[in-house]
Amino acid sequence: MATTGVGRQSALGAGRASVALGWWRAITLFARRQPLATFGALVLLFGLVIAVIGPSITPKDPYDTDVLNGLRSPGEGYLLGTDNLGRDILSRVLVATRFSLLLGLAAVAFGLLIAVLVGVISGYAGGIADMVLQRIVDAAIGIPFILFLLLIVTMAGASFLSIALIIGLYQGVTSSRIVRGAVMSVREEVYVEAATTIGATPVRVMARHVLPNVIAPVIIIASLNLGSAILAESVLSFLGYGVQPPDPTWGQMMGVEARPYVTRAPWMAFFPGVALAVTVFAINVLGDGLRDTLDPRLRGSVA
Amino acid sequence: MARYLLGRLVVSSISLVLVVVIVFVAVRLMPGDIVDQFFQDTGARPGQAEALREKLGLSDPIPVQFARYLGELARGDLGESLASGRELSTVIRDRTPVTFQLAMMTLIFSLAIGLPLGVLSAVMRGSALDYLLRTIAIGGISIPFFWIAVLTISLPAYYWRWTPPIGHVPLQEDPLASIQHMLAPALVGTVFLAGSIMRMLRATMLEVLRLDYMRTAAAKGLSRATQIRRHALRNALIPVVTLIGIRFIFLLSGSVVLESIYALPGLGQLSLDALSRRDYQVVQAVTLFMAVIIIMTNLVVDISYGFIDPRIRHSRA
Repeated sequence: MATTGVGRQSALGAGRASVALGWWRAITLFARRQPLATFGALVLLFGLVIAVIGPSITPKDPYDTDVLNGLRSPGEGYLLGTDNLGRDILSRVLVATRFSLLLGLAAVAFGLLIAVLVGVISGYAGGIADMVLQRIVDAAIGIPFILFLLLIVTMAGASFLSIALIIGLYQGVTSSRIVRGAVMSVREEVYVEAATTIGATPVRVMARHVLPNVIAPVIIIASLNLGSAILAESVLSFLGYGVQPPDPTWGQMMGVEARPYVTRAPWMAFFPGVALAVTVFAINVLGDGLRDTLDPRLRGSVA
Repeated sequence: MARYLLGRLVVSSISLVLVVVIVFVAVRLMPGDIVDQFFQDTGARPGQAEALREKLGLSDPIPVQFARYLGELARGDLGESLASGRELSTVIRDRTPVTFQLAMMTLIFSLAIGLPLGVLSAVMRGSALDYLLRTIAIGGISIPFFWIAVLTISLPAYYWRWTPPIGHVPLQEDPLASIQHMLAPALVGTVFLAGSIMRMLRATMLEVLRLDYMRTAAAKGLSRATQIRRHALRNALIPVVTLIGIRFIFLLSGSVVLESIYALPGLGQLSLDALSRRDYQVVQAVTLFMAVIIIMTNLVVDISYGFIDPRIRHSRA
């Protein structure tokens, strides 16, 4: 008894070490094959660090208005200039990072839940359930995204949670098609038939055999949806339908705040946009690299 | 085929009904209505607001309003704007050409840029040029289009005291001026759409390039250009057609923001104004109209897919 216990433990330990080594190898291989994606990952990591420590490294108070120093151009004391109320743009861009990234992550997490739930049920069960769910998906795709977003967010009231849930819901419903497609092809595999034949329940087959095999498209959807979720929230704030001031968001800074001063202070819209563009670019190149590595067949189906 | 078409039409109308219900309920659940907005500044005498609501038919219970709305739709009547009282079918007919022109110009520019660069990227796979083009393409889909739109106005205005022409000139009045006025927003849309087309075409070209018939084409001595034009591109374009259908929807959606930035009186601006004014009728009519276009686009794309590539059967739902 005792010896088997020890034997099992050491085997486990060795397993863990080789898993860690395997991970390290996978990462270095990925870095060599996908330099651009690795760059994206590093930028995203940097963004996450800013999201965490951003509020404590701001050179000025991002909420502190100082009208005498309003609309100052970049340089002289304010690296990225000031807005019409004299608030430091750099500080506000830094503080807004947390909101954008957190909101994107929350939306994508919720969206994945919906996509997997709808996709697996629809693809595996088929029949009436599939029919009903797919008509709802059609309807969601049929409403222009931005209009849908504006409508539902106004209806529910704009808050971090409501915006994340609504973007996530929309993304989840629309990307469930890809999960459904993956499930439908996995369903025909011999190992699923084998599992069913030896008497596994549908739920068990789904959880143990179907789900693990659709993980790749799910990861890819997640990474590509993250960029669009962050963009979607920015459009909303840009048009003035996002969370209300004074909490800055990139979209709100370049939209409602900057647009009245569009010809007098281009830096007000420029710098938050740079932060947004770089973030989304980093996420998308990372998503692309992951897709090429995990499942090259999906190229194109998730554009 | 007829059976398939009929089935698809029935299914599409179910989705349309869903859109109608969702939008109808959602607009009425938004805080405040048009009457509140109307009296916001002036203030209302007691009973005045209720009288106006009564007149606009907003005081009935929602199911009653919905039944009345469905009745109107069944007669092909989109209703009238709550704010202006104008017939909505007329309003939409006036506004559609603007949005359509923007979408078409964006599409044409995007194809002109995206198709050749996509082919080039695939043919030169692994080269420095391919890497550069891929990076540009992914940049195109990552850069927020509303940001570029604002910059096209703010940067030239600040540095050179010049802005691209804002506003709209109808195409039939002065075609050249009309196209000039829409150049900036169309190019902004192109940044995204061309990037998207490049990525898709590169991916499908790569799939096609390693197929047997490409080897055959090379073996029988066709020039590289003919191989690519006649054999590879033809087949690689099929999924791109689908993508264009899907992206057309994006153009409709993006028009909401672009039209607002460039002061274009299209459907997007109409819906944005209506939403903030709580003009339920307009929001309903525009979303319904757009939903019909989108669902029809999807249908046409699915059907054309089967025509272009007979291997795809219509048996799948």
